[in-house]
Amino acid sequence: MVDTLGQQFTVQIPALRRYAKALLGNSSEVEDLVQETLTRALTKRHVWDRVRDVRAYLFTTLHNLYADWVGKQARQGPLTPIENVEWQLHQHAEQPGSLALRDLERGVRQLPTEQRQVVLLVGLEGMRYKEVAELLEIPIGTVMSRLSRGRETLRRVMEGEERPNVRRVK
Amino acid sequence: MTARTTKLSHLITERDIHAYVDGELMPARRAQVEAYLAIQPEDAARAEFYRAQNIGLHALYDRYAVDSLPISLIAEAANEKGRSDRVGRWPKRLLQSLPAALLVSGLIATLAGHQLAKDTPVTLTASEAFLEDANDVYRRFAANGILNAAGEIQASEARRWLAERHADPRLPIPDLTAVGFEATGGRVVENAGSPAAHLVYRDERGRVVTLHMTKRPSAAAKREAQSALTFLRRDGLSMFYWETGTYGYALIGEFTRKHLVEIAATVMGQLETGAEGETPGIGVGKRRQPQAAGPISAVKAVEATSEPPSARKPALDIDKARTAGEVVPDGKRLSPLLSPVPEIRSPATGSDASPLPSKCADEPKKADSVKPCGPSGA
Repeated sequence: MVDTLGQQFTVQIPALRRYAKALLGNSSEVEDLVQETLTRALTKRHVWDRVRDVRAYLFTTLHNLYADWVGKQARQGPLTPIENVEWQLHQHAEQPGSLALRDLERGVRQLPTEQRQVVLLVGLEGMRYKEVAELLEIPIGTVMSRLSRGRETLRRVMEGEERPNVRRVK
Repeated sequence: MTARTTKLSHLITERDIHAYVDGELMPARRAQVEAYLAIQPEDAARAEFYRAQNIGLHALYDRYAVDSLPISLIAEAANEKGRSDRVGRWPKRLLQSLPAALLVSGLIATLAGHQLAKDTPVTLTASEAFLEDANDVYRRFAANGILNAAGEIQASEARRWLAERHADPRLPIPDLTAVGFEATGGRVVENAGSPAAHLVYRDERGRVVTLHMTKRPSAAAKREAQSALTFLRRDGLSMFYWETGTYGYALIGEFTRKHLVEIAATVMGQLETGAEGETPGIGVGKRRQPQAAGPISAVKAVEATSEPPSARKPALDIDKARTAGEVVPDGKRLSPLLSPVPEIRSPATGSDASPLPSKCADEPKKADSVKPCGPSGA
């Protein structure tokens, strides 16, 4: 069965939301960003027939809107970057194996955005290196080096080599 | 170190290890990396760690992978779409109420077979749509690796979500420990335009069965007042669907028919109990017709010798379905219930659904010839 583009879009909504919140934090702003991304996609229905890869189209739109949003925030005055605020609010007390996962989350949070993007697109969204390269418009070698650095940072954080001063204990 | 080790160590780079973890290597290269990791436990452990990171990312973030859409917007968009006189022209309000509109466009395409009749209200409630959607959700989550990750939310949280999203908070979460399954999580998804609880159960071997529960819109409950019991098997997945008045349920898993039916019986038993207790919403609706008059249960489809007694005793129906079903090869529809449900409309009131005339419901039906039943005829 050939899915219509509408269905393909619909199917991507959960992954888009997951990626946005993993990348930027779980806040109402990020939810708005997701909604806005979907709105853009729908209002531009006339370009749908030129869309080859629905997922890439949505993720690119999300990245672009986020860049716009960050730019706007910068012009409007100093605000705490969204990730700093949001990650602090983010609690995972109920998570299974929560210590390791908390470390992982803390590591993700510490990554520079460019590395976090790649780590999440590959590790969470299961994209091929080539897809990530096209999506982010960077060479595939850059994808691999960002991935390598990002994962190595996560590993060091999780293994305690880059532990912050205070460790939360349940 | 052997010469071979040295040679490999020169050949294998940091990037190769990542590419190996991510399945990006060609088979020949992959074999080299495997050979290398076999003699380099430290790097092998690192590769394992990277792999664990990916699983951890799912555990952390899969909870966000939901279709959380305001129900009111969905209904609104559906109505708009139904009223719009031209296919392809999207009402302005619809455009603004995204992503409800987006979802509805997908639903409409699914339900109407990619073709929306000009004046037909959108039927978001057909049994087929429900099961197709349930199946869809199952596959989507399976495809995203979510069913295999530890990131499922607690079942109690699914119930809370359900309550918040205006679904019936009294829907119980069935306890399947009697058949070896524990509720490991759930989420609220859209199913045929209604919020549905999507509960995930696992047994000790990690096998997954999912249960969808949704309150069917009242219009649909009126239109399709009969109960239904349907078993489907497709691509290795078994699906069992049934309704009790205003609720629809779908049980999906990679199990044999027999096994799934056992699980379904456990679920049904508990929902029945619930209906008699403090959960009136789950019981048999006032408009409910006796099961025997219902449209083509799985039992009828294979010419059961006796009529199922009553929908209040679904376990009996299941027993028959179990016996009956063995004849039916995989991939074939047991029941024509899943054929598109004809729109029952009274000519005078247009889209206002009227209950099925009882004479119509009493008509015997054959598995391979479903005729629309009602005043409009077609």
